[in-house]
Amino acid sequence: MKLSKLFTTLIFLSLWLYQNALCKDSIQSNYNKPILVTDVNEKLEAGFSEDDILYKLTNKPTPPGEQLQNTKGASSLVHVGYLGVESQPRTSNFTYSTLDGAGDIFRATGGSETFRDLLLELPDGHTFSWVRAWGEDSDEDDELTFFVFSTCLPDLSAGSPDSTQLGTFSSSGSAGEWSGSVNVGGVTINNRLCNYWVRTRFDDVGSSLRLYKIRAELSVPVAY
Amino acid sequence: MDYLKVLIFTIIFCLISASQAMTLEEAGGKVGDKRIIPEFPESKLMTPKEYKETTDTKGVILIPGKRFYSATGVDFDPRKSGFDGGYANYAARTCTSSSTEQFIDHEIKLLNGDILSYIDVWGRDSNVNENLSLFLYKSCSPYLSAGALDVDFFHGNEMSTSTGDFIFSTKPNKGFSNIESTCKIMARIRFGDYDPVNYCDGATDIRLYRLRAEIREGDLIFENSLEEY
Repeated sequence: MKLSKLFTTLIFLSLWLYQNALCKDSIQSNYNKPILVTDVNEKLEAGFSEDDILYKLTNKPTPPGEQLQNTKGASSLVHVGYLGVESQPRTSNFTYSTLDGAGDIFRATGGSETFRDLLLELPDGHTFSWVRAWGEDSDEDDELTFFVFSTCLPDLSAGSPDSTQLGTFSSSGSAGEWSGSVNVGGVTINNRLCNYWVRTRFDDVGSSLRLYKIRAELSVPVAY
Repeated sequence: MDYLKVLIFTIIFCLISASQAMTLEEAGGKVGDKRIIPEFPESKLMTPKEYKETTDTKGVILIPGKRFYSATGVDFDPRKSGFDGGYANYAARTCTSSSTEQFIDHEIKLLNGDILSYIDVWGRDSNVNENLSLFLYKSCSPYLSAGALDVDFFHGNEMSTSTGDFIFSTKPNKGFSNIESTCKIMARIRFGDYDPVNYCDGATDIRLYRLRAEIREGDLIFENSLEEY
């Protein structure tokens, strides 16, 4: 009798371990292996220098589509949003102004800097799926271009930051009010090791290229 | 004899006051702000090895009751607009020689009752003469009335290295209350030695990569976060 109980327990234990292993495998398979960016122009266009080490996420799994639901109350979605004015210039030589005075910014004449960086303050352990931006693009020749990065350092030792481009997208056309998004691969947020940020490149000066807002979409982790 | 005692006491008091004012000035504060820096007897600079031994949970992203907040160098705000910030491409921040300001600030996002366990700073300093410094301060306004900001610089350290890439770890281990309702906890970085004339001149090769706060969430059992700060 005792032997049969022990046997049953062992079977359940084995099944539980097997199921856990399956879950772990399916989670780990979502981690993408980034490739090293060797194209110098690609690095320069993202505001890096040619000597910088930059990786790029490819073959990203497609996360669930952005959900247009009202996320008040219980929801597995988390949104973190920032207005354009909350971003920081890559160097202090970014001259900017606003048209509506409501957090929107555009690059004004006078400065030599074209990039602004926005730190995304994201919760640990959540799955980072999408970045969406809003703005205005009524410039036929130039665009707003967005680069989403994770930049990581060793946990407990000195080192040089490694950056991975999780996604990039641009405002296209010149229709005016504009919004676009990019899949960032469903990476798991780890603030212990990494920062997550969005760089915006303003290709031209003037209020025809305006940044309104950037939003990150994440989902609550289901199991660990 | 009594006059001599009074004179000696006065001299000592003046020296202490002067040193406090000087120290606060070096932290970008002002005379009248609280605390002589550093005054954190239970805090010590920790080597990465010591740190690892006490808190190693490597590979674990979610730790119950613990979370991390981190910011890039670029996300710090200059104390004054005279700061001319440069960059090192990966959202790291430098200070150019044309700057007329050498301090940058960033809020450490805490919730009521949180305990600020560790602060880690990554950067690059190959400069044998100048260093990057870290200050932590609490700035509070009255809850429902007018009044000046009540500022307390509760931590300050030169993160002194000239070895290139570095990590600096320190352990404030302090609980905080009245966050958001009246108080903010801020981190301040100074590029180079305090120099109100030449500012960052001579220290333009120093980089701030990242600041990370390890936060222990308050436990209801310890309503005052063990020690209310």
